[in-house]
Amino acid sequence: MNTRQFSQALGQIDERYIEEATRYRGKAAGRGWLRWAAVAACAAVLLAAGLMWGGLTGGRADTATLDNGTQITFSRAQAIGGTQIDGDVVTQALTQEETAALFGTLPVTASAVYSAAEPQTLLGFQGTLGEVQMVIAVAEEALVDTQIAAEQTVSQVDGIAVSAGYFLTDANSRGERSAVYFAAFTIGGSRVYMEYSLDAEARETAKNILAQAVQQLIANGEPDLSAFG
Amino acid sequence: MEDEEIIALLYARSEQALHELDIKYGKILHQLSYNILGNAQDAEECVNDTYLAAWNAIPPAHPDPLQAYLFKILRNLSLKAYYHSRAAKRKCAYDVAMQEVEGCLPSPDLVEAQLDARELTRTLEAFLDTLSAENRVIFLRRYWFSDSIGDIARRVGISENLTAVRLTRIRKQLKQYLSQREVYV
Repeated sequence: MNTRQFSQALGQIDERYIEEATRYRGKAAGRGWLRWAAVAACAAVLLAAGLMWGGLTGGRADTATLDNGTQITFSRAQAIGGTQIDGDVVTQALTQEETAALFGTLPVTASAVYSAAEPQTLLGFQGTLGEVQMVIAVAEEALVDTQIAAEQTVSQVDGIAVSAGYFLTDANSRGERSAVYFAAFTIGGSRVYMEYSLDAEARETAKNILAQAVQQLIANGEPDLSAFG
Repeated sequence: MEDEEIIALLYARSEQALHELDIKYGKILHQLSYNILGNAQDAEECVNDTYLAAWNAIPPAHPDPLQAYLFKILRNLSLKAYYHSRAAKRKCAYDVAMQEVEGCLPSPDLVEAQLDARELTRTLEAFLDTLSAENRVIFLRRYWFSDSIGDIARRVGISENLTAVRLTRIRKQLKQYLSQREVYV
């Protein structure tokens, strides 16, 4: 198939797809201040010594050092699963009260994820901690495909085993690449996946922002699900 | 003016309908065509041809939604113009988008099954149905509308980096999807 055939075939899709793409508006992207606040907070996390970064073309592991001296090691991966929920689900934005009950004072914006089929059961949560994407599965089934094709190094953060990694996207037509850092761990009965990405040049920042978010969420403890029955 | 009122003007064969179409949709139609052709004059021509096509088709057609109907006509006309005069072209948004997606399309050398254009469209629709609404919008804004990464990021409300990452993933999913269904054209 060449691009002309692809483009012509894509051009004939049903108008409902085009209408959706025309009308869709996500959350306002007015959170630039959050990014800078996170970067400033990250300055307290960064320690120059102990980094094992081997550059873009070499090296397999990268390490972030948290403010309590704990280190999270990120193994280089070939692919990641992402934070898109698989399966037939419905989501409902958390209220301020629900967010506070689950995540305390953490800067979380999230939705509860329920199975679409009756009886609707709570599967977990999806949202952001600061600018870090996160998915928390509370039921038995996994919410996302988190297959990590990498040699996983497990780090201990406040007694929780954390598997973490990173990968670099292919260069786009402008030669730009992104660095995606991710981490997965289990708190009590909840399985957590977190992810954050920036330009490849800003990978140190991405790594440290993610590491801090991991530490914050672990410190928050297992989400109290009593409000969700 | 509401779409139904514009269609009523078309049914009444009032040229005011064309004026109203231009007020309501002219800017976004022009942007879509410009993304493909990279030339304002050519884009303007395609937009005018779109209005003419709508005038000729309505009635008896009664499109709903009108916007998507106009978009499809315009895109087809713009692509026709694009492939007709490739020599005069400088790189435009459409070129950039197609270069990105080229790598995930099945090789034309591997001919296992022939699909006609309609079947290919149905296959792509089925693929789109596997995506979340947000990812579907990101994919179509890039490869149907040829929007820039920045415009897509602002529309969806995420960062440009995350938009680029999502597109990388979706292209990989597309490649896998087409490969699993042995789609070779």
